[in-house]
Amino acid sequence: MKSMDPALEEASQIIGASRLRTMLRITLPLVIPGVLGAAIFVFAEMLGSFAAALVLGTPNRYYVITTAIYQLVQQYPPKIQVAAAMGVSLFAVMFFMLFLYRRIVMAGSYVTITGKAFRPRVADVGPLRYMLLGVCVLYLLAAVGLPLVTLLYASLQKIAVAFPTAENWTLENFRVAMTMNAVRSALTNSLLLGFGTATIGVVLMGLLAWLIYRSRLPGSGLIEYVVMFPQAVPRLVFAFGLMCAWVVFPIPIYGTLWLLLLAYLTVFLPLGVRTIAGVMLQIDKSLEECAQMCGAPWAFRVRTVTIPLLMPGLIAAWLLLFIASIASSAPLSC
Amino acid sequence: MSPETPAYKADHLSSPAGSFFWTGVDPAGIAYNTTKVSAADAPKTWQDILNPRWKGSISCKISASGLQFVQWYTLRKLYGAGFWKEFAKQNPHAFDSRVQLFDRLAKGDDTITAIGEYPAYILFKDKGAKVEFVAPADGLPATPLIVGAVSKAPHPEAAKLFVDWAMSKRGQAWYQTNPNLYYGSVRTDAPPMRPGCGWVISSCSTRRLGRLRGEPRCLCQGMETHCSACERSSRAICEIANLRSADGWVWSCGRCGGTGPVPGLLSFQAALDVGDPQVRPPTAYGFDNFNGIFQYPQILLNTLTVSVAATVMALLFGFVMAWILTRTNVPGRYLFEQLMAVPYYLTPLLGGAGLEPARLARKRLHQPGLARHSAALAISSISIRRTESPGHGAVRGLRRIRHDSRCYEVDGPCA
Repeated sequence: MKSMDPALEEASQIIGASRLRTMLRITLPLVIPGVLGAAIFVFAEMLGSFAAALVLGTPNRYYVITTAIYQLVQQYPPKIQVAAAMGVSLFAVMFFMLFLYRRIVMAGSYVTITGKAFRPRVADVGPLRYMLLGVCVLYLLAAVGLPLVTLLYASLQKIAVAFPTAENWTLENFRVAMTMNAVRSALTNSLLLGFGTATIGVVLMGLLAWLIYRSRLPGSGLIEYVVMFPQAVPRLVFAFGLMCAWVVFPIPIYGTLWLLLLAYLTVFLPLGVRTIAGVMLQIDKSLEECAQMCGAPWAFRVRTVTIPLLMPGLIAAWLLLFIASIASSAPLSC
Repeated sequence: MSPETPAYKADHLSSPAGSFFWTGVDPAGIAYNTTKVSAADAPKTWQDILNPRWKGSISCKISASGLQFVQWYTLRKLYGAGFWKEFAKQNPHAFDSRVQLFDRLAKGDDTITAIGEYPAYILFKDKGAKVEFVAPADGLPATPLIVGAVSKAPHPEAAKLFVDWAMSKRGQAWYQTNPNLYYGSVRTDAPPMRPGCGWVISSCSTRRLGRLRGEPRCLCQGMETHCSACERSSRAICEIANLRSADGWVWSCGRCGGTGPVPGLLSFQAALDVGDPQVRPPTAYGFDNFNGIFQYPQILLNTLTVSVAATVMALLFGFVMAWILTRTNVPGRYLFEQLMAVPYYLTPLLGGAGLEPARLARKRLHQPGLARHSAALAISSISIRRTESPGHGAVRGLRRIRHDSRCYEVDGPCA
């Protein structure tokens, strides 16, 4: 919306349309393709989402496909085949949706970031702005404040009940959390995994992004599809597949951090490549070509031209990967 | 063979001795929330949990739980398979862990739990939870816990040392007193477990499920059982025997292991496997599993409801927030634009936990018809956070649109 030219909206208001009418007749139709793309993307992601449905839905016997898959594998006797059939079907649907999403996004030919610049017009909404401020604050409170406060509250309770009583307050939980070996090693594992995933990931995904968008390697389009593949596989399904695969695979990494590292790298592949590619596409190819003309070999070119230019993107990708692998329980949930 | 072996009876060792031993015994009765249920109304026998009054407010464990398996087996032997069919009509809530069961019980989410583990009861009682334990008069299912060194352990001597410690008086005392365990010991010279917990076991349950050593009236003594769950222990022997003979130490692979290293392919292979699920490699292929999906129309409907609701909400919130932040002079909009990304970094698990109290509060004005819809709404509203933060999603979508290359200077210089 930021990048939408306000001239059209202004034109509408000049010829006497009200603000609401402008919104409905001009702004909305303009953004519909973008919104449609976003809608399909969100919908596909939602089909594969798991954690919230597990925490909130399962106790109420409210199952969605992902939690049903989890249940079918967890129960005794496990119905792994039906679970796998569900997973494969879900994968097919998600793949189709993401394919559609790509088509819609690609179809808008005015895609990339160009030098054309304009400022979106900011409307002075007068005293209404304080109400809108209220809306923003409310949204953030609901999305961030409420869960965090609840968590803090629960951490100070002996038994996690909704309404406090005097004798229920305790700091014991923090003492246990700080002194328990399991918690400390979990913390170490998280940090190790975060560093590992982010560092290895940036190198790997940077190379992949370069291969896909900069090299003239035949079949780079194919690589792009393979790289984006994990996006379409519901993470729960992927995790079960990975688990089963590595139990029988001769390299003994089952039950170690290495398997998790591998899983994280695979799951976050699309995220990393997309982030780096976003910056890479902004860098004019001619700069690299210029170095080439001056006789610089590939490694020198990459070191002195591409990497310095890419630095902000690489740092952003590193942080993103680090945060994603620490914050998410991803491969086994999502 | 561990030097501690003589302190155990032959019943509590593998046969022949030397493979594993009973680390402890874990009994499960019925537990109830004392603020919701009076002692007079509380169930006295297993038959009482079938009372329709508990419908929808009773909990149990998931079917993969060992203790749940023992309970299922023993009560089935006592009352026939019909017992569990009746139990299913109670719409029980199933959970993985005893901590979840008792946490919900203490909160009053459930009024009784059908599988009240005694160790968990002590744990919560100590915290001051308003819960009480019933040893059903018709029997107290109990399961042995088993420890042994496996044949291909990466560090066999360390494993043996651990078993020696676990069998020793010190090790057993630890199993008996650690708040996360609280298991009864079957070591012949084990000390009493938790003195003074005041729970008295009825003679009927001792008759059916074993007798108590030492002071006969308190379970807190080390318990010597030869309960009807022993089929479970022989089952465990089979598992361990298999494990020792063939599979090496990663024995869980027998269930789900496939033949290839590619995760995606394995899922496809499993999806097409219509033979005996326990046999590898698959004995027959077909599409029957896909028909299986349609046995769950409600689940497909739920998935669709949640996804559609989440999409609509994400777009609505995203659009409104994007409009407010980019098109109006709302105070602090640059700050807010940065903050909008924060929800993305919270895991949805956190969101789920955060909504718990809201859910509890809602329960006070509980309307049955609304329950399903509110579950769907809650899941959707938490999950949308995950999708790149809805506001940013919309902004990103909208960013694609450019119509004019002219430069506007409204409230600042052109970028």
